[in-house]
Amino acid sequence: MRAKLKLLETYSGEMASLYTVMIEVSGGAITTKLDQFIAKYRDTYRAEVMDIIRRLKSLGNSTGCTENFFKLDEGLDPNDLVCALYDVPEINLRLYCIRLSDRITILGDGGPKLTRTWQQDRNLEREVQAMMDVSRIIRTKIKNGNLRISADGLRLEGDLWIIRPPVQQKTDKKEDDDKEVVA
Amino acid sequence: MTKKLLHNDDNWGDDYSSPVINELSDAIGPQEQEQTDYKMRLAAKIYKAMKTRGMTQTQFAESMNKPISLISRWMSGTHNFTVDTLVDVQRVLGISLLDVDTAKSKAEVNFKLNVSSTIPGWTSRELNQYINDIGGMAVSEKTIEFSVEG
Repeated sequence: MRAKLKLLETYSGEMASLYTVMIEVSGGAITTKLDQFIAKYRDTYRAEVMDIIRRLKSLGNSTGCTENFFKLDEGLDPNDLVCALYDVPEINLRLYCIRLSDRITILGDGGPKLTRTWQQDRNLEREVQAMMDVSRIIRTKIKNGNLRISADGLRLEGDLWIIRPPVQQKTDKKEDDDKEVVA
Repeated sequence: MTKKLLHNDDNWGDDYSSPVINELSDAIGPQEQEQTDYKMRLAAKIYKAMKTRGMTQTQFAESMNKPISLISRWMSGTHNFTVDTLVDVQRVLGISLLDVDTAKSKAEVNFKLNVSSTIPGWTSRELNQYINDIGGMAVSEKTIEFSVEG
């Protein structure tokens, strides 16, 4: 299992950069949290998904990620910066994010909010928890200096890994190496 | 025997391009995107004006005599404002959201300015060769906005 932050060039622009979390699924294939969100709801919530995509494009190219476009404090810790893109009240299709600044937001997965709180919905609870986990890892990396925000505020630089691949132990002798891999 | 720790696949996923994201993005027409952009920019302008005046959403809601949930929706960029509402917002925040002043009309003209020159003693072939040698000529476009009185 690997996971890494991925810049979404389709939505990013001069006002903001939008990232998502790229993950490895069965068979080594790659997908992202945003891909999973879209794949799940593109048929049943077609109009809402398209509206979300248009708004994501606007965030990147027209307005930036100012806080008015989000429902803030969706995570359990206000410092985790976990929020949700504002959802249309009658529909409540919620897309969870980490709003690092007005210029950088990380998009996750989500779903329709049919209960009063996300803790009452197993799907939403899983997705909020996933974003809280990502947030914790990112904030630690930023604190340690392994991950930085670029001078223009538009990019994350440095270690973009959320879950690194298994570390391979390599020896000077190839034979020994092969034995260790087999073991 | 020395051992080294290596992460040898740091470029994992760098070339990943999501087919589903690209497909849905391509399905959005420029007119639809323009409408969304306008609603988002309108919301951003109202939010900025509110902040500049040191107002909270609660105070703004009270000034507008509206529930705060509606104000949140206005700020979200998803709301289709009526002209009546925009007129009220303009009055409360002291900003201009609707430009209906016909005394001044703004025109935007896109044009290309071609600049040419001759160098005495050079044939056009020599000039082309020189341009190629220096890596081509830069071409730029600029939009100039001007006002017409009357």
